[in-house]
Amino acid sequence: MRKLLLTLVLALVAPLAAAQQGLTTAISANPESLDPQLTFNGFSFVVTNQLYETLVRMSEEGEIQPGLATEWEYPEPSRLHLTLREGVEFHDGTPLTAQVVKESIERLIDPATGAPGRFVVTAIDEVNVIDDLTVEIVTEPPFAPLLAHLSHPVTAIVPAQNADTLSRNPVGTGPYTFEQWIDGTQITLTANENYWGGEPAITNVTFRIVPEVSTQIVELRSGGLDIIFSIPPDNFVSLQDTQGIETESFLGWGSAHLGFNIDSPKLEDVRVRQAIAHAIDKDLIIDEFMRGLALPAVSPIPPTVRFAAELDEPYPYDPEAAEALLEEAGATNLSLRLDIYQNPELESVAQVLQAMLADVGINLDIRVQEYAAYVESAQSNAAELYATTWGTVTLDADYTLFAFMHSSEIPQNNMSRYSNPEVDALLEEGRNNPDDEARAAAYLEVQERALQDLPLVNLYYPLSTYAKRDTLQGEDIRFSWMMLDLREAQLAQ
Amino acid sequence: MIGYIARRLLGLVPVLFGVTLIVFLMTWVTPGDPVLAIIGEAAQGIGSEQLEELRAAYGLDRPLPVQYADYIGGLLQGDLGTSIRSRQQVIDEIMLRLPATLQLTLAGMGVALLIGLPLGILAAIYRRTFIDYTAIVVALAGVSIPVFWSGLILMIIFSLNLGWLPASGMGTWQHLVMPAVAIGFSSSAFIARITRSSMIETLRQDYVRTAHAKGASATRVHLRHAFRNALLPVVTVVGLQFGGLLGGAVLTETVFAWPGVGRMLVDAIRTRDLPLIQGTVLFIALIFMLINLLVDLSYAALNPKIRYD
Repeated sequence: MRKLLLTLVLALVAPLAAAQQGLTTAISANPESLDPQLTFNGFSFVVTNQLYETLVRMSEEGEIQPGLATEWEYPEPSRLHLTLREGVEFHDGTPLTAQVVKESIERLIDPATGAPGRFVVTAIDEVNVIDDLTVEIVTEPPFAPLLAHLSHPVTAIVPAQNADTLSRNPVGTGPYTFEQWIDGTQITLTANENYWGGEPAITNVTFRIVPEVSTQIVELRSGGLDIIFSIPPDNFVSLQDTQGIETESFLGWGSAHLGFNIDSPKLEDVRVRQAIAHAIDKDLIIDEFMRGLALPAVSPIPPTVRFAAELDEPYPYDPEAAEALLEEAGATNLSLRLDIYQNPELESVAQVLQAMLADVGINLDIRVQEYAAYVESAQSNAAELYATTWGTVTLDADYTLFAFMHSSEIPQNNMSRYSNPEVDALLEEGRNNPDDEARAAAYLEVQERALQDLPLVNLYYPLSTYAKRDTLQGEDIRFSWMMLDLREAQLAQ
Repeated sequence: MIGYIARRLLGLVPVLFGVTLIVFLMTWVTPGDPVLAIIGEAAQGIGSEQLEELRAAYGLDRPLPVQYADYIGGLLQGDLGTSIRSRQQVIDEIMLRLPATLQLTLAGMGVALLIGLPLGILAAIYRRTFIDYTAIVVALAGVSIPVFWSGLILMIIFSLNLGWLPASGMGTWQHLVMPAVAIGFSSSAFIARITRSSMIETLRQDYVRTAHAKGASATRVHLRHAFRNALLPVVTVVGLQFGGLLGGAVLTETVFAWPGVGRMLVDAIRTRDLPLIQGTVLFIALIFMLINLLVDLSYAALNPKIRYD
């Protein structure tokens, strides 16, 4: 009876819904810009990724795959030649040429553009046109992760001649063209009939701006949304048993860390850091607080990232060993401060850490601040412990290992203040040596040193989650929800 | 009267100037690097060199007094500036959100008055009876229940179970119903309480007794004699609520994904988008003060004894 009533009601309101053909999804905030060079947020990139394309893509196995470029080679280690796909046009009909690619990258690396994501491509020195469809990217010294960086959404190719209007009137080469942006409400896209890979089956995509996860869930269940992303573990578990809804989780590029300021007198003794590592029950955090939606971390980078090493846990949960180490180091009655930023996941993890450390006699004082204020505190000399979630967004080990462990990154990203000339040399080798085997060897050693010297404890790799109505099939989402790819997706009627 | 209005309008200028100064100073004493707040935590991995480049690109490397003077200079020429993050004109950003805010505020106040006034009047007339207590409980519930809970309950009932209304967003009149009810319900509580106490006060007045003695019907006494005189404090509260909703309906806007000015302001504060914060606060302050002026002027209309010279 209830179903019948529901059907009747739905039939009455159907004309309302009928205006929305195609797929509707939600993002949690209004993007600041639909120019991929002027943003660095997932909720912007998930839209720009439908409109624009990068030169190369990353396969699930960490292989570089063709995007707007079909072939590439290194005539010299510092020169990358990319051959562009033939016959690609921007949505306004402008053909994709080497000149356009050159102008796009030059705009991104020009400090005057004010691109927040410029740091992803600072290695690029110049871009040259070899011929109409061949472009040369010069990095001096050689920058081995260059292709991985060129798979990041911020490097998507934009027509620089439209630079001033791309924010609000995006023009790319992607499978969808821009239709309308109702500020704060929704962004609508239409399938690109002339897309080089063939017109997508889903003809319209609407990104509704719905800030609250609970609202998104009600919308998904009532049919207002077809797919939602990044669902908190508790909500995810409750959606798993909902009829008509499919839930998916996958290992992405994310990780969570507890960092030490190793210059702090309380933490300079590696035995104290080892004791803290032994005091943490990673499985408990994962089972209880992440509802099983994470994997325990040993290396700073998850297995999805190129050159991530499979390592055994040297510091299994062992409170007795922790206490013994603390006693040996003469660090009894230790009281430490943990800096974190406002983030529900980190805040609950911090509380668990507090309880776990209390079990071995360490008093933990948690300080939660806004992100920018947190960074200031964690970078100050007075910092002790800090916790952060992180994304290896280029999917290459260099991105995270260099940031966390190279001495030139102190204190900006290397908040642990870890400084070791040998590790610096290994990281530079990994960054500059074009040979993959040599890179793998260098990064293996760096990851082992990270465990030995323990500038940070790697807590877990969170799984990315999404939930969709079971009518949606064929979507491809790798590494992060923002990499949503609908080119092969279909909606069953 | 015109002289009074002119004086009041002139008085807005120093207040608005003070608002810009306070907002500017508050943004700068907030701990943390504003550039980091602007680009957000997603840009972890950025190097210190690039942070300095961005600081220069955003114009945040200039001395504070210069930044402020530039801003005021622009303001005097009617330029509210450009949002750092979206690079759109601040005035355009506000105008894009204003219709949504006005719609929700007007509808919400409509609901609030529809619930609040009758509730307050009834409670006053039937003081210390079941009706009064019920009204007090309803008012208390309105003030106490947070919208992120009541909003969700409304959504579950009317969208998920009954399928009558869209759960969130903006577009048709159906979209407006739940957020307006959620806002109206909580505002109605204040209106009901102030109406009740003001009515009780007036019902005690001699002229009410006189009206009863003259043989006027109870309805006429209550509505024509008492209620009209009880309206002054009610109008004040309604004016304040109205002004408050223009920028302060953030929770409702967030729960129902309503694209109002309040949500935009909170996003701007979170990302330290100073020109957008300045412009929006200034705009809200201006409207708030204009509403207050209207409220003050309405006193004269409600009570002829009040004159503005």
